[in-house]
Amino acid sequence: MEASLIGFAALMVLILARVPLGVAMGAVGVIGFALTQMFEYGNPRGWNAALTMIGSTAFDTGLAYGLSVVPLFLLMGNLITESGMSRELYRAANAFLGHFKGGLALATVVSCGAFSAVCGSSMATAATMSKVAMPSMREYRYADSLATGAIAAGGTLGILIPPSVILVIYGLMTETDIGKLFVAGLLPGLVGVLLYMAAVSVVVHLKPEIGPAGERSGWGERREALKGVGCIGVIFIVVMGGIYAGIFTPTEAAGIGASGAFLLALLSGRIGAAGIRRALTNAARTTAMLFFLVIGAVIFSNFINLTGLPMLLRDWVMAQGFGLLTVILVLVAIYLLLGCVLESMSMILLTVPVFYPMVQAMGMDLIWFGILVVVVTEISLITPPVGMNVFVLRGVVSDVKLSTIFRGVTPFWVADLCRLALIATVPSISLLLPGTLG
Amino acid sequence: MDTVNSETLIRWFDRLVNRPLRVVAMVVMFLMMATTLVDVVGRYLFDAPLKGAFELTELMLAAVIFLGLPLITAENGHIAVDLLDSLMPARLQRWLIGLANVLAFGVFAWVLWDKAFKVLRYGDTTAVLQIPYAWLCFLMAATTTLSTLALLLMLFIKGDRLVVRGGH
Amino acid sequence: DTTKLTLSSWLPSGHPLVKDVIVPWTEQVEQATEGRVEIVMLPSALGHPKMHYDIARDGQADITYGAHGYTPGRFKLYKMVEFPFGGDSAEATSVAYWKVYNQSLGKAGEHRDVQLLGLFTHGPGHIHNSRKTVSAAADLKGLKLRVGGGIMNDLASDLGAVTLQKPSSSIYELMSSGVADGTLFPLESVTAFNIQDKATHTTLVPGGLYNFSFFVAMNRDRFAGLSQQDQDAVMSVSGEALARLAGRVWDRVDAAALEALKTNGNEITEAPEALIDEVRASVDPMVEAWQAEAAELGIDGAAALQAFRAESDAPAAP
Ligand code: NA
Ligand code: NA
Repeated sequence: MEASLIGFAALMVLILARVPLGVAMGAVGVIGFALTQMFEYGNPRGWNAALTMIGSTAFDTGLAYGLSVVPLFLLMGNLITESGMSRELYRAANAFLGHFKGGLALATVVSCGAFSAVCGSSMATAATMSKVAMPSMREYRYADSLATGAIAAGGTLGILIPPSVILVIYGLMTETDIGKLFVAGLLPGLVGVLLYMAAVSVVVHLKPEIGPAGERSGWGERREALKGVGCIGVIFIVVMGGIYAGIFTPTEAAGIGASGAFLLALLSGRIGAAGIRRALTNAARTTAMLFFLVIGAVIFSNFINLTGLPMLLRDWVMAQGFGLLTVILVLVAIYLLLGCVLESMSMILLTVPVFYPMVQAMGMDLIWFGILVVVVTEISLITPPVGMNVFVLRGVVSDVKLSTIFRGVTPFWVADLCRLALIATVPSISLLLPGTLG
Repeated sequence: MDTVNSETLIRWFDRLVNRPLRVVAMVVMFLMMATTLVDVVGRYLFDAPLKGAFELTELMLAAVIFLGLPLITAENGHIAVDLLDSLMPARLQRWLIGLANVLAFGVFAWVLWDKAFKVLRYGDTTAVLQIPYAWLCFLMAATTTLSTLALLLMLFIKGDRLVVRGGH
Repeated sequence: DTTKLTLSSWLPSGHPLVKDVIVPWTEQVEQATEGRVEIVMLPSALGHPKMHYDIARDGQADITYGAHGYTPGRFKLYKMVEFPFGGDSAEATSVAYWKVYNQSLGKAGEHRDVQLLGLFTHGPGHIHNSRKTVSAAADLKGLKLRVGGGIMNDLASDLGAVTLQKPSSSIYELMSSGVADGTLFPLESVTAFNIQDKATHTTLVPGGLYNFSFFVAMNRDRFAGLSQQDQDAVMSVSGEALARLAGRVWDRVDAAALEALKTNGNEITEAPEALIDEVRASVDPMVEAWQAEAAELGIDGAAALQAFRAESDAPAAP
């Protein structure tokens, strides 16, 4: 117990000292594992055990069939990005919403949501949509705060609306059905889009000058714009429909989705050899980056496992007789705090193994918990001081101050808290759709 | 070490390490995608799923991860939190983090070599196609060693990244 | 003072193998050593099931259990118990396995990197599917069957089935979507994985179409670190006693599953002699190949197999 708390403290120090997260988690995990073996269990060869654990973990994680969805969904998103379909999405959303007050920001939120349906990562969604949406919002003299806020927040939808890399990792850690998790993310994701749109409306109502209305598009133009996004719709329906109807497993769906994106990109002639090369290598690079993190986190959680913390925590909470809502509130508070400094993937990797046995013992559905956890971590992506989506955006529009972006995401942050409250109190938002899967 | 030499070093690293790894990673990534497609299409249309698709996918996943590791390491692309940078003199911090990274990756590489020889001795193979796992283990050990080398060079040339300007 | 040993377990804590075998065994160890050895089960597994031999060898956990078939290529001799017609009772096959291992197989030193505490099998494996009564190899033609690796896979594809090598945990998903038409499973797994409403046709193969070999292993150095008295105490409740304990539990859950399938109205047929002959024809070359492998390790495979089948009271060897 003490050992795990010291471990968490040491980890925080290393992370704040800018040691890469994977290295920090791995190092603390190995040292903690060795010391626990030696002093808690009297194992004289504790170091040997800890060092060999690195090798087994790397091998084990690298060869996890279930995790092969990660590179394949990344590849699917990359191919769609490279073929410029994000631009079409934005044009379509704009044709319908552009003439409202704050219309371009509304269109940004909607096209972020739509792009999330074929992209597994929030950072990729934010990065892609910023390149498309930012120039036109500037052209229409939107305030930088609203423009960047809408993109950074809209990007967070990427990990809740399926496919989602983080839901895959959550599913594997808790042995929860990944297909059901994906289906469960649909409604909360939709609620997210609606609440973000409400946030834009409220903001432009209070300060009309920051989001002027654009021109109204005719129906002919709208029909034309919709045609351009058909491919994305097709891919989404094949992938999610295939999972929903049980035609293929989520892992297979990722491969089919990537192949579909590949064929559509080739057939539409919108992607050259260079684009395909970039999509393939970037998927490989991001995979390496994510898995290095995952390997570090698994090593760390093996150490926490050895100390027995998850079970001690579960037994303690059960003995106190807390209600489920109290526990959820405390967990949400912990996540919001952690979310200030940690990036979403590391947050999930570090906390879920510790918390899930406890909420499971309290009778909470692990699919519901997964959605709740992902929504909280989404918030962390736009919470200062370390908000990965905000950083991504800052990388694309380098002339906007970080503080401006953080100011711009505030209304969306409030919308997120509303959604969080909804999801924490109304489990059926998360459980309705997966319940129909049987 | 002066700048000209650093530039040369980076160019050589790019030519001998990054570029070949990029090409191989790209090919494996493509094959991973194609494997699922062939397996599913074969199953539905011809009652003939691809033999060993499951284990091929696993092998390729591990290969993609470890082929990408030196690439992302040479780009300084591992996720880190730069929050309290001002608390320590920049040069001291750079050296401390650099040494921690080299040490961590060095240990990682060493245990993977050890693991690879154990797997070779046991003769572990996949279940259906009976592909020996030792090949993969040696690949993992080798690319992790290359990552360690990249980190050492970065410390040595006082650079943050080991990539040719203008490349991706 | 007590020695605390860690145990890494990869099955859910409610699984009969954990609840009724591993946990009672750890209690027996504590009793036999008068509390000098305490076994702590870790909250979750330290890795994938296939890593569990290595986990004990390297001392990441002191004690593990696992299956030889999860690491193909590493062990050879265990296949003896996985061939068809090994026996109808898991208790008999498990005890026979341990005895034959000690008489002959153990000499090859396949487990030399760990302290072997036990060997056992589950109940006989049978054929379950959603489409039709299987009473000949011809009925298997084109049937999509989920299988593990190894003998299961070779046998099923030899008999004409389309084999899908997927983990057993994915069977519900595979069968409810129609990706798979059926699976090879011991009876217990049909109800444990909740597919009794989908796999409605079961063909029972006398002595089993296949079986599965499990081990319980302990870190060698940690075992050597115990006093001679405690080593003896640990072994007194392990080995044959552990094989009997595990086999009995498998037999019990298999019997319960058979009742449940009958109550559910599933069709249960016994494989006719013709199908058995077809299986025999397909397996003979595999047994021969295995005997050659065993010979390379200095083991008389034919004698071992005969001793095993005599002890497990199986139908006469082919
Ligand atoms: Na998504
Ligand atoms: Na944050």
